Amino acid sequence: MKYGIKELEYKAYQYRKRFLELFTRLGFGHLTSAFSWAEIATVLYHEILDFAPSGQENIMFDKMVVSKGHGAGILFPIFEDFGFFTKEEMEGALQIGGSSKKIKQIYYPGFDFYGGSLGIGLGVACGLAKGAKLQSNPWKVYCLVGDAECYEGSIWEAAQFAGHQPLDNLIVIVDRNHLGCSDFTEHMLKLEPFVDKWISHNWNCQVIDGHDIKQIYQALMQAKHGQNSCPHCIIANTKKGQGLNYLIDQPLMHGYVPSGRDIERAYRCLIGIAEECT
Amino acid sequence: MLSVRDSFFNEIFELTKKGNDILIVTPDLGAPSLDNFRKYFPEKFISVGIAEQNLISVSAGLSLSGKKVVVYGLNPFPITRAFDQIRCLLAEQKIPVTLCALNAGLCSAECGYTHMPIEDIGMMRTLSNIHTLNPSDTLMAQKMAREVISCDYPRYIRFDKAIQEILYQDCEIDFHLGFTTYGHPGRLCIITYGYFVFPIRQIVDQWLKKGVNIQLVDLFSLPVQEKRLIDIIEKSQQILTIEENVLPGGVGSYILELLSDFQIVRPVKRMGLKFPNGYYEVFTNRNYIQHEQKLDIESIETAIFKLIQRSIEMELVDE
Repeated sequence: MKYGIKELEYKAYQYRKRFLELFTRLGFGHLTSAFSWAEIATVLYHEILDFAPSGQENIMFDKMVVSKGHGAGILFPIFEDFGFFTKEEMEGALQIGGSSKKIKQIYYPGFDFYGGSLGIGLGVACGLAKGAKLQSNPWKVYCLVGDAECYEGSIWEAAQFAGHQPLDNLIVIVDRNHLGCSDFTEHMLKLEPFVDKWISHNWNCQVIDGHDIKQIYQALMQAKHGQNSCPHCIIANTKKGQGLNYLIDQPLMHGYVPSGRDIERAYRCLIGIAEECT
Repeated sequence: MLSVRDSFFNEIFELTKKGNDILIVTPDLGAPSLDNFRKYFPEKFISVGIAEQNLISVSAGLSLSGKKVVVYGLNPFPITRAFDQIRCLLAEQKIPVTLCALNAGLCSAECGYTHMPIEDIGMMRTLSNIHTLNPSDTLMAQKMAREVISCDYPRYIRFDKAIQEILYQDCEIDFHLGFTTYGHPGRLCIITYGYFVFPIRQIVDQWLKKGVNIQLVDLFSLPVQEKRLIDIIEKSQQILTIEENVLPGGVGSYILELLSDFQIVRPVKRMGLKFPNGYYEVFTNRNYIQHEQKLDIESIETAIFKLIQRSIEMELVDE
């Protein structure tokens, strides 16, 4: 590992904090979805993904598809940390009327796919992975999908395709936070037996704690260097809104961004002042 | 004689033989003209199974990986089932996939309403970046295939299995312009595409021989160079649009919008499909529906005759 576990945990914390700053200022965002995969994103971008440090597109680098597009907000602080955006550029872009010109001009893995219409990203990742194989390119394709996104039939169309090909250069991370927009997944419409579904589509499947840096790293490394001729699925058990305890296991917080006095509460909770966290 | 589809795929095969790196992606659909491609380039022919949503997503990913991608599916499913993927991927991200769909309009009417792409013109017209193309002759289809190599925007090509003619010379087809003209402006400008172009050219010939100025616009591409199109159609006294598409959102609708945008006043008659109470409750085919909807050649001839007659009568009144 390039960084220690504590360092990466601290980075994930910093990214959540910066997300709070950016998106409370904007007054819009999907905090719970972004916080849900903050550790996964931190490990991916610092330890796993091979991409140009200057942000220049190069076909030979790894690809990242954030299919659950509402979670993509956590990438802004990460790319700022990498130096892709200055603080001013970031804040200038994240406002009504702010230009996305730089985002569109420069290649940022994860930002080159316009996610948000759920269910379509995994198929794109399959196409990228198949394209890599046809061109004998060594890059891997990573794709983040939400668990509730897996209600979409197109996810399973893509899963069948990847399993059939088979696309062993494709690594899917399912953000298994057990919450959709309005309800818990197992109450709304059962996804379980979830692992069996991936395995039955000829995928290799692991289940991890999606907030445990070590488990995330080990699972991604195993998938990255796996030799079993299958696409890889990592089901990462997470908590939607992780970092802000008062949001944990609370349905109807999908499009939540704190406002007014709630902003201070969120900061105090994030930095661990216990009485604010309940 | 070759159909527009076979003409297109024969050219794709030739281009691939010359070393162009083209992939064909299908949702379980073949064609005689694809047999050679599948035989000699099996690794370049990818089937995703009957899964149109994944068809578009995978094709977008392949294109983003650097490949030239031709999608080939059975209409209307790649459009109607996968419209969100087309909207969010191909159109919004301007991914240069060439999406070909077999059967346009009423081609497969014998299979019922499910197999009739008759709303797709309007659907695709609402999207950014994507061009809808209706090859009206086999040479045009061939030329569309050659564009796969260089085209930097998404295209939707509708193959009509009834079209087997060659009407144009290569130099007459300007994809940037988006339309061709035939005849002379005057009493009537007929605007159509695809299937109707060949029979209506014959009707136009008859009127031209009688000394009546009448013009046909083959609107093979949407969008077109709008100002150039307006310059053409405003030279005629009346406009007639003909299409195997439902009237809302179709080419007739497009022309009315253009006239409004450019503040041009011309009488417009739109001939197209109307299903105010849903689809027929009988077995149908193309001829049956054309007859019922007054889109058969006899009805079109009658409509043209009446419009020309009206133009002459109006002129007499003015005098």
